[in-house]
Amino acid sequence: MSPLLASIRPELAWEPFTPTRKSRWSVEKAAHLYRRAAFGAPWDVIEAAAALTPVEAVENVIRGRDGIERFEGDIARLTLGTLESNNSRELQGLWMYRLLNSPHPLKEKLTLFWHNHFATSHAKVNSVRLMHSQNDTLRRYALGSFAGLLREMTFDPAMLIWLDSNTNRKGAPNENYAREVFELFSLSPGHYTENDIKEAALALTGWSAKDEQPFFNPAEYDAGEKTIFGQKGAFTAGDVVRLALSQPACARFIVRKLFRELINDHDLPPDALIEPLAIEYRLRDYDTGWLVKRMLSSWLFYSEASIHQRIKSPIEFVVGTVRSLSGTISPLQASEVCAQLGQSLYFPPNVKGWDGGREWISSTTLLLRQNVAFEITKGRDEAARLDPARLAVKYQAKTPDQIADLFLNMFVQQTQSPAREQIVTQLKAEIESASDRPFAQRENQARLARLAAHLVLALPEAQLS
Amino acid sequence: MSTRRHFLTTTAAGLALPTVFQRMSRAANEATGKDSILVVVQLSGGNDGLNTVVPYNEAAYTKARPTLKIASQSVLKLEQGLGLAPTLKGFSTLWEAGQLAVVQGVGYAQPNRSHFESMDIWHKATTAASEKYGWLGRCAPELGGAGDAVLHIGDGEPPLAVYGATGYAPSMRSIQDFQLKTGSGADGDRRRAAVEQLSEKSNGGDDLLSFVQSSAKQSFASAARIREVAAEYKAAIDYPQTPLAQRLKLIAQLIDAKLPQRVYYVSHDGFDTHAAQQLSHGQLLKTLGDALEAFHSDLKSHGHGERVVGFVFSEFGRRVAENGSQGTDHGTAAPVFLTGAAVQGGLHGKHPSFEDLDQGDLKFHTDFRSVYASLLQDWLGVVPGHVLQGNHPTLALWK
Repeated sequence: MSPLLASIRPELAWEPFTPTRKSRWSVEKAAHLYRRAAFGAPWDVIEAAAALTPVEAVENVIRGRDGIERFEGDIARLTLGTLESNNSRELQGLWMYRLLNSPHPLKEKLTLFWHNHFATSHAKVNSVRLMHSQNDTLRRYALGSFAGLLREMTFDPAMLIWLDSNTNRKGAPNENYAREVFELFSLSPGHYTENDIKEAALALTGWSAKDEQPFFNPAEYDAGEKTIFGQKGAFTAGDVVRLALSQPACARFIVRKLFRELINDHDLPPDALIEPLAIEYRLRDYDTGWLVKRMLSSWLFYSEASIHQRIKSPIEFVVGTVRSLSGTISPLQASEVCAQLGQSLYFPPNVKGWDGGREWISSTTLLLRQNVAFEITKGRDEAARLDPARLAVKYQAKTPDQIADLFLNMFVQQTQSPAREQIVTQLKAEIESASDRPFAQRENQARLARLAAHLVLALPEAQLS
Repeated sequence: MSTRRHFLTTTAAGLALPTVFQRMSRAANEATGKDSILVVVQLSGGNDGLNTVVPYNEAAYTKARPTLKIASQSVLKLEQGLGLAPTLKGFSTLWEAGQLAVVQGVGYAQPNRSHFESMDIWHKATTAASEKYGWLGRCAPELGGAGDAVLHIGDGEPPLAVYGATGYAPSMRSIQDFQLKTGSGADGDRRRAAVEQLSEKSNGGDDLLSFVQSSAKQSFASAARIREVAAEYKAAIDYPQTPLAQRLKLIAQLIDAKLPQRVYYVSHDGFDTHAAQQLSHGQLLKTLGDALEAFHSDLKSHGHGERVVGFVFSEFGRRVAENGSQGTDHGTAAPVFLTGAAVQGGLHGKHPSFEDLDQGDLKFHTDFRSVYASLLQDWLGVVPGHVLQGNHPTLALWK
């Protein structure tokens, strides 16, 4: 076990974090909350959250900002055009618009989590309408009941196509969904037998996607008796879901996966840490909203075992940067950039989804991320509405020290880092090199702000969440 | 960390290349035992085959094209009463060297005259709506490697032809895609040094931050290596300053750098010549011929002449008769071209008959999938049946 997790006492780990003299509620912790749960936030939001209690800050993130109805109205209009276009790039852009602008980013974060969990690719489904409809379902259940979500996904038309339920018929079963529903969607390997899969496939027969709707053909359903997890019955597709949810392994699997998403992406948590949450999650009929809140409120979440212990996904990096700079960028462009960095919305590499963690970083994707940092902080062209210079003005950062601190605070909350001195030196050199050019003071401030924002975002520290 | 996974999950070449560099020694392909390379040149818009390979003596041709016909004294003569458009000097040179194969009368049954739909048919190699992937996308896994067998070179979206089960093949615009961007001039250099310095600090531990720092170090090393290759590469010839020629030059550099790609894909746009086509079409052909001539000549000087074949196609030819705007409208059958030392230079198949037109359009006699099958089987070493539906006889296109 990692030394970070070894020091955690399971009976205290999930207790609500309460500030002590040793561990205060701070901008660092507030920024951590927003980074993990909301793709980051403008600096004044972080500062405001740091002035609240942790409980209030978490409540705010769970509830989302005002204006959701109006936002959904905008989305509804954009959706019409996207569906009409039948263009998968526009579909990606539509979701990216949500990710960048939604007043309820936590919901988008969890929708993305479930997209990766029930990883379905447009490459095979080949229908903008069905991928969009699946996405809506994922969002509806994002912070709702996983039991309901698993049921919905079992009969979701895109999923029926993706995992070949269309060809799963009585007398000619296709085990694709039966296998994945146990292996990847609910239990994980080791908690079912090959025979459970065979029998579950029979129970799932008869379902297909027809005219973009789930369709049950009784003539293709195998109504015979099946044995699943040692229980006998003339089981149906609904029973397969019910039986999976009744296994203790199910809640453990989801809690572990959410741990990796919200707490720490590389240290394997011991069973003792997972079990208390898994038991209660199952008792609460898989209420994901409860589980997420519990995690975001916990001691563990605000400990060293969690802070900066995840690699940002491409979407976290790009969306987080844009949200932190309190600006905006073309959603089509943003989703294109994320695709280049290895995360193409609606096109996960396979049914296991993106592996994530260290897999996100190769020598090349890192270089590309640093180039994205350069482009995003240029303050002109496609990044005109993201100009870091505005923030230097707003927060009255004028000297190299002030400007370096502003952006170090904003992105990595590490003004003590050894990088600070080097960044300040760079900013001074920039002034030096421009000393023979007649820059107005304001223009100088803008140049330094852009340079500082770029240098901070290019730091390896900025790749960690 | 698995680099293989990155290849499979990324959609842009930018992500792939430097890691490719680290595997340079494995460039020769394991799956097919071949290291042959195919460069596909797509002429977008529907190339006017009749004014590319000109039947200058054919009365039906001169009659149908009162303003656009190319006279016998202007064409670059081939044989059998056919000649290349006067601006295709590059192709003429290849022809003289026995490195230009002209496959005549290529098309498919029930031709579709929509750009979009016909291009889709060429890309998917089928008219079946149920097919989602392109022929090269389906071919890529057969070529082995780590999903990096096919590379699209250009600014635009990659074509459907290179779309496969793992998404679109990567796209690359220039070597600059693999360099740290920090702006130009002394400011840019200072900034680059700062980014590199700030990234590379490592405490050598096993924690996440150290991992990112050491990845940064690697990435700067890879970028430096690519810079060297680019700086050291001396084209044996001055490539024309056209986007097509510059893309082919980039491909020559990548081939010379021993990258493992087996298929490169470039597009050359503007062939939808509905009006006043003479000048513009001539210019497009000049760009095409000069670019491919320079490319093959450069490859030869670097010792890759035998390894590389060019394949030039368009989604359809144009009508026999010109329209009222001194242009031509969408037609059907047309020639495709293969270039390179390995091809059997000369004419392949007859010119389609002017006596037997289909609603004023030339009739195809060679299905384009036979050309694909030949490229797959005889050049790339892939079983055509794994990529194409149905049986398509291969053609004798090789030396």
